[in-house]
Amino acid sequence: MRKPFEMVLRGLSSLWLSTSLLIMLGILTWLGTLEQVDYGLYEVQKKYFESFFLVHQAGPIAIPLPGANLVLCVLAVNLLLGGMIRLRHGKSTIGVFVTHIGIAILLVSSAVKLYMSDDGYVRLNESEQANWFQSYYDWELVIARETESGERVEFLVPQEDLQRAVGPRSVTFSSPELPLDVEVAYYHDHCRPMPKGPAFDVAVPVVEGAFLKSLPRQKEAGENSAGLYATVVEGDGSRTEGILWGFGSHPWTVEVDGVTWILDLRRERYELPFTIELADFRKEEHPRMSMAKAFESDVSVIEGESSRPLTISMNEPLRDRGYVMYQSSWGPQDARPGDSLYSVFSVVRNPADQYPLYACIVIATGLLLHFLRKLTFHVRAEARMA
Amino acid sequence: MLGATTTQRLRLQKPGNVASPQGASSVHWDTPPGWTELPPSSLRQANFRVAGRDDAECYLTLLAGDGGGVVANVNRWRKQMSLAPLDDTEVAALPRATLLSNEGALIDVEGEWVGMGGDASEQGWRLVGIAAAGSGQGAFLKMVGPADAIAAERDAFLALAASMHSAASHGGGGETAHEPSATPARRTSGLTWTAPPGWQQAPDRAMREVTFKMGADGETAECYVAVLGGEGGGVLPNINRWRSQLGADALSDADAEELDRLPMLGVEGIVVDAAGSFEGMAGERYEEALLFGAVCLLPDRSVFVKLVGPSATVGPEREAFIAFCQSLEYEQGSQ
Repeated sequence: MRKPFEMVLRGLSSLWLSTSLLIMLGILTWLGTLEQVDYGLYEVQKKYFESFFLVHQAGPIAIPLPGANLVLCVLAVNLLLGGMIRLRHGKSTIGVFVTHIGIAILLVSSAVKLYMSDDGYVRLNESEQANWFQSYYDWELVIARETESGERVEFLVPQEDLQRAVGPRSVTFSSPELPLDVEVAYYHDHCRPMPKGPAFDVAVPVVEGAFLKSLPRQKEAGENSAGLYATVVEGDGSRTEGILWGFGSHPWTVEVDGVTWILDLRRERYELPFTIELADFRKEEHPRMSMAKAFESDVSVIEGESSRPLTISMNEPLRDRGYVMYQSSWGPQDARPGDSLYSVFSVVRNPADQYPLYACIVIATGLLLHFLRKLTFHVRAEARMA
Repeated sequence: MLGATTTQRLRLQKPGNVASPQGASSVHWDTPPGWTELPPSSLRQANFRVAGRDDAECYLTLLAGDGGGVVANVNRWRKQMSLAPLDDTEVAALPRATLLSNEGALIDVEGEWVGMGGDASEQGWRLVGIAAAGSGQGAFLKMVGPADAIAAERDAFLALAASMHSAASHGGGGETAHEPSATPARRTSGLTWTAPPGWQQAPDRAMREVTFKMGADGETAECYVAVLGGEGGGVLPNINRWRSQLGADALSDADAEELDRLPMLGVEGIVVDAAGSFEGMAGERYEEALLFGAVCLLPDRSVFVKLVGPSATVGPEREAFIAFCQSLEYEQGSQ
């Protein structure tokens, strides 16, 4: 009984397995890079690097492969067993042991990043402030109303729930706090609204002369504009149909019992633990060109009554409680001299933001210990021979 | 903004007044009760869904000059209803109606609707239209759909026609609809292009943004750009209509997926080619003809570019055709 267990243990901790896994990571990186040409970064990242299994299509041949997620999980086990548990512990291997701890921290940081981080952006005009940022890719359905005091009450439906509304199969969203149900059908990852004429038929409902035309997903995932058909069902059973489109200009409003309800399909929003206000945006252009050489934003980080001024520039992000805010863009790109500009900040919430730095320090320390020991042996051996 | 209409929310409506081809005067009207205004397009200055019916529509088209003339347009409508054409005398004998201060012919026919591309087939449809031309402008108001729907809305159609007026003619100032501007009609859509070397721009034609001729006499090929609202009847039907003009087989949806893509007008256009025999609009016939076409779907309109003519002339123009398609641009604010 003990023997098979030992065999499994030996296999999982073997150097052969480490090498195979590293080669597999190399293959996945190579295939993913090739496929990125046709499908874009976002899709490839999901398929090759955030998955446990995938099928790579090599022409007519379908090749099942482990995803990088699975490979890294097995590599973590291999590292734990081979590099840390089964390693002969002693002075001679302390450098190797510490190095493996550093690699383990690196793997943990990537797992935390994958499962616990959010990234997106916030766009601010001068004097504008926000305490949220929004996703580049994901959508959410918001059902909202404004209270008498002007406060906005929102009920949110995340994208993964909306994606269950495939074709005419509707999904109903309700809440005890809502006087209405919302049925969602024909969710499209990428679509555009079109006016319906009599000269052609469509396979989707037509609402007030318009329908949603499904489109193939774009290579640049941020360019996909989701859409859906929503039906507001009131308590008395009356139904109001509408189309929501992610790139629409205004939300859909429905009156229910004298209250105006707002339905909108928007990019998923994440809260910031502080409010950021753009005070000033500056850009420096290359001589005789309209191409920006450098740009930076003076902002205020507001928390309660306190306000902290600082500057976010291209290589000087704001770091605060696991949030990193980078100066990423500006606009409008066709602005003329004197036009008001807005500033765009990329925002990443990653609890493991600094883990790679710690991992590098630990790995460097381990390697230093190991090489110093080797150097000491070498010097002593040389001295003995002399 | 709260309370926006579906058209506004979904960005289906272009801002601003409805312009005539001259681009100066605006047309106003009283929308009949129960009708829904749809977004205008480059060829539909007013566009309606009739009485809540998805299968019935009504629209106004204003064209520079006489827009091809009343007789030609009446017969074009009759052809869409699978009816034989009328001669000048018969058209002159049709009931008269006034549209935008021009007197024209009122057509009211029933038949099989085959659509503008001839590829539809709807039995028992009815078309009511007014074709009026004069004072440098052709005005065409047409309502088409199932006979029962059209019969019920015929009076509403006539009321709509009577209510139509240009703002200028009601004291709005500026140019009136009767004074054609020097601005060419093809510019109203805001489409611009760069003509390849050797392409000669031909006189303006109705339904076309621009027409070019190329090649020696007797071997002349033609390239033109047309812009239609929405999908313009669909990509595949148009591609197959082009191919059928050369006797080429129709493509399936799967075949169409394999067609080349071409970046143009900020989106991916679809490029199609066909070879076969071709009979031109003027009756010229080429046994060895070649067609290059490009279809580009924009959010509110479709752009069609077609180059057709004898193989010897068209073949060497492929690169020029691609360059021409890629040179197409909409002036800022025109989309």
